[in-house]
Amino acid sequence: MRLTRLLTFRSIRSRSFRFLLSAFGIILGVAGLLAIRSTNQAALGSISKLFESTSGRAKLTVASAATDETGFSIRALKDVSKVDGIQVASPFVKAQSDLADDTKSDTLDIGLFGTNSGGLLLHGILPAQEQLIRDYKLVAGRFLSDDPEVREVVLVESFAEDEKVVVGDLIEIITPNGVKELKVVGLVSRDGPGQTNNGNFGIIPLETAQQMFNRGSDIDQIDIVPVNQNPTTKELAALRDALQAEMGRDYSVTYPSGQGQRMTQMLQNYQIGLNFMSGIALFVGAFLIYNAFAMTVVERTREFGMLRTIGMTRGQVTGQVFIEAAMLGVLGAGLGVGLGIVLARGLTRLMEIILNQQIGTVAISPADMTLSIGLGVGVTFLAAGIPAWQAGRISPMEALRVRGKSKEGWVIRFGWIGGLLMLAGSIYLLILNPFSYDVQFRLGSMTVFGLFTGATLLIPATVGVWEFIARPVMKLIYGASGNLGSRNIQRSRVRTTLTVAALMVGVAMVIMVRGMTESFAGDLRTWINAYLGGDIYVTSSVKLRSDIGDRIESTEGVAAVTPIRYFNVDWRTPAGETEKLNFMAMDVRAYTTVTNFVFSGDQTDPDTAVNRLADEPTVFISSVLAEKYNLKVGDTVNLKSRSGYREFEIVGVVVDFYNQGLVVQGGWETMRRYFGIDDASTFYVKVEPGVSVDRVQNFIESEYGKRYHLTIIANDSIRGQVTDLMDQAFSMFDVMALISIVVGSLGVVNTLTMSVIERTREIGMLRAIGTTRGQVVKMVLAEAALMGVIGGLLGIATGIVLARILFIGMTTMSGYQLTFTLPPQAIWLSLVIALIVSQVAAIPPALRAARVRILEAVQYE
Amino acid sequence: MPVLEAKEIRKQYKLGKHTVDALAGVNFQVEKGEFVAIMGPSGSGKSTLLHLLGGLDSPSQGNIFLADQSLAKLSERKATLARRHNVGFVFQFFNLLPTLNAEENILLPVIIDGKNPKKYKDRLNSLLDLIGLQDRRHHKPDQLSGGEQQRVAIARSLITEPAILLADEPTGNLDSKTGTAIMELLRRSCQELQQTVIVVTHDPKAAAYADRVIFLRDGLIVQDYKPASDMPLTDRLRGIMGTMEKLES
Repeated sequence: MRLTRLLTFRSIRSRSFRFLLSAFGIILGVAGLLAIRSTNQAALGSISKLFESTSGRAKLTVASAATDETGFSIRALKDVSKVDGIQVASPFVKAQSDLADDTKSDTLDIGLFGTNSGGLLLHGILPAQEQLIRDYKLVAGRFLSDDPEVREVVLVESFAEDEKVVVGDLIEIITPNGVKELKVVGLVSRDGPGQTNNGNFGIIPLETAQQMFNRGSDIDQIDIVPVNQNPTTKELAALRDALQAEMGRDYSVTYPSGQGQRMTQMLQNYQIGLNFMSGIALFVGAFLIYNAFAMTVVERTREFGMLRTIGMTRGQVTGQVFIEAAMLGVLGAGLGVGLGIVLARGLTRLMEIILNQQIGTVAISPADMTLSIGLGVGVTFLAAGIPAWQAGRISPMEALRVRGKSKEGWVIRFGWIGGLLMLAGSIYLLILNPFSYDVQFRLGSMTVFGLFTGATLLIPATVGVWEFIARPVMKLIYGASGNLGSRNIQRSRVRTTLTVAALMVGVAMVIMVRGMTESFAGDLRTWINAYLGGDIYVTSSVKLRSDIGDRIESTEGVAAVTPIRYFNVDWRTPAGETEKLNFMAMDVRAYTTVTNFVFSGDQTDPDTAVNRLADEPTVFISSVLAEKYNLKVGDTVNLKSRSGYREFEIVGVVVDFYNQGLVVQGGWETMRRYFGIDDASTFYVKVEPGVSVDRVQNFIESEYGKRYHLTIIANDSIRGQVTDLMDQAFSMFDVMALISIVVGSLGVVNTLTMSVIERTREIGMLRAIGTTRGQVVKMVLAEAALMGVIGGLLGIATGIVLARILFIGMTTMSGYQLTFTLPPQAIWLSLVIALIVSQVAAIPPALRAARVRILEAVQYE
Repeated sequence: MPVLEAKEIRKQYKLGKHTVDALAGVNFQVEKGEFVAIMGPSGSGKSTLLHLLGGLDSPSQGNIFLADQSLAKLSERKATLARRHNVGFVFQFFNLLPTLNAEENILLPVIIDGKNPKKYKDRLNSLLDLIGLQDRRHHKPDQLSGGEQQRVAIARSLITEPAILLADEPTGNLDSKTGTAIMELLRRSCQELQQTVIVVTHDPKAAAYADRVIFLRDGLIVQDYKPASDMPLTDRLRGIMGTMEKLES
């Protein structure tokens, strides 16, 4: 301990700044892992909690089998009661509405994974049964009375506050029969069932809802609570089968929590990407730590040599380096946890935006904390292993040597062979293994380390070649000093290698992030542009009758209007499982006048495909589905229509990322006939050339906005919103990459400072024979520039390989089919960044060199 | 009873295809409390000899006995422990740890050995008296002059009372006045502490402080010069210079 206090602690204190900086990789990795894990858990938790609390004690739900849009007669309750083992069967009807005087008409509640219905969602319920299923927390007024016809509403507190409504007020809501009044009798808190539709939610008596929304005696869902409130999976399945058998194939009996799975799936895809990045941050961290320790060992060679001479054993020396590593690991992990907690907050906000879903407070679990700290310390130990071992191998005779002779052994001479093998091996592994599965992907990401190490091992053997090629350029830029500086790079190749490697990792990260971001963003943009076709987007939080489209079309300046309708549909996958898909129906011919389909690949003849989609009961499927289930044009998809499952022929494969790509598209007629739906969710409006979009938008707004309760938005502003959203989602990655470049620059400062100190005598000699201060500065800058160039070029090469790999991994796992794009600007930019960083980092050592006093220097040891 | 004995030691190096004999059969003994200087032109093998005597390297043939222990066949670890307990080193460039103060630098070998430095308080004080840095004991190396740093290095090498003190060109990096003070200090440590000292140097003025000067050439001892103990320094110097001239001719 005394030895540690005197040697290690003091040594750390004397270079505390550098020590702290070398902890950066670990800090980042640990913080990233911790933040991502805990945010994700919080998000998943809040989603499943949302579904649990909104479904209350219901263990099963009965809905219409056709689509989830059409209801069924309340008489079905009788059939339900025939089944044994049911305690409560509570029916409700859903009604999408909005306040008549709602002023929020120019914003769209948009998230990366779709839009929220917004507006005001009303459930028509039977108060007595409903309260047996769900726990509403009344915060003001009273609950609904048992009178089924009274025009009362209980709202969520937050919605009431936003709309400045209090208990006792009358609110006006939009219904198919015009604006109707409801009396607010109570407010419930925004948790439990109050979270439904993000709190834009209210309950009214069942019959009131049926009357106001023209539903006759129809209901949408029956929630079932079994007598045995904690049934086993088997018991519940038995009850479900019994119910299904009793109700027949017109009904579908499902588990309520199933609805949460889609969101969970989305979240997991995003998590994979972020996890990969924090994994890489840890690897890069390991690399930087190795670099920092190797540098320290080189720097302290003489000191360790002396200690060995006076009787310190190899084990003691190695032990001291390990103690330093342990301290760095603990410090890095500790700070990482701190940063992770802060980061988790930011990430939560980001997730809330992306999911368009409130996430509760993030709790960092002890397990995650332990995992992150353990990984941080472990990685530091691993990374410091080789330098620690090398420190132990330092010969005591190093102490007797005149300064400046660092041993450059077999790594220099034969390292490139290993490097080449590692490079080839990791690239081969990465290409061979397309990471279809998560485990493989994680294993695959390990080879990233191999890639960096391989490239690093190539550096010492090739420094000579690089230098030879670059020397004329350096000479051109920095004159005679450039020539000297360029040659200097070969003098301490181990150190040069470590510096170049640090820069390489930083640049590779930038390239990788840019490549990934551009590929994703590029394709998303193409899709968004086609998807948000036309110039104006018209939607509403209440149902839109098709004839509204005709009215808009007759507006002056409007070239074309196409209605769009989204609804969920059950799909029997080729594997025989049931999955929910999003069906996007459109008036196909009108659609092609407003925007265009983005076909994936060139196997489809667009005209034939469009005609068949318009005239026949056929569908387009997304490239995501095509890839995931190996479907192609000519195959069929088995969708649950209102008269049971039916095969629809695939006539085209299109690029569509809506709903994670789980989308099929079909014609209006197909929707009407097979799914019994006739209203629109959205209209796309195309404005005539030369006509101001603003003017048309304002006109539609003033003419129809209020009447049909429309939300009218210029598509440019939605694209802006979506782009902002994507930028926010991707900005995390950029920050990580930039920090690694900054840490890389530290390597440049280190190396050059050490070189200058070592060469003090030589610099003094150069000054003595007439080299100016400016020339000395240029000499150091030239050396740095060369390192920047080598690091930059190697970083670009490894970065491109990595970006490709990450891209393959991400697309395979997320199901998104994207085109790999890496803009040349990104490549140039990272080379420029590497050069600038190297030059800025070289300024302090260059000035130090310029300040060398000639007389002192020539006497210098 | 000699404290150090070199028996027919040879050391060969491979330089490409050629084998170079750095030492070609060296024999000598050093008694306790003796002050020996090793001299010779560059390439004569004096540094190699010093490395072998300090257990930093092992001879190709022959054997070295230090405090009755054979150094030739020791494992790396045993050689390290032998150095720790029996050898003190003084280097040309002082090699002090810049982060430790003078006192801590002196106590470093004790700390490495895992012993409590407090038990060495008396020894430390007497060494600080010997090197005359009692009042600068808390100074860091960069606050000390070159001569002072070298004195601290000498005190460090003496703290464990080693069987021999090996000094490699201890005055090589100092001006002549400071160099003289350092040689006087080594001389005093011989006389006052009965410390055996072996100095490798090419400075005849430094060698003149020794009881005995061993001249090496081409890896062999060519002269073992032992002036009378009462011979004045100037006469010794003359004797050494004379021998050097004879060897060089």
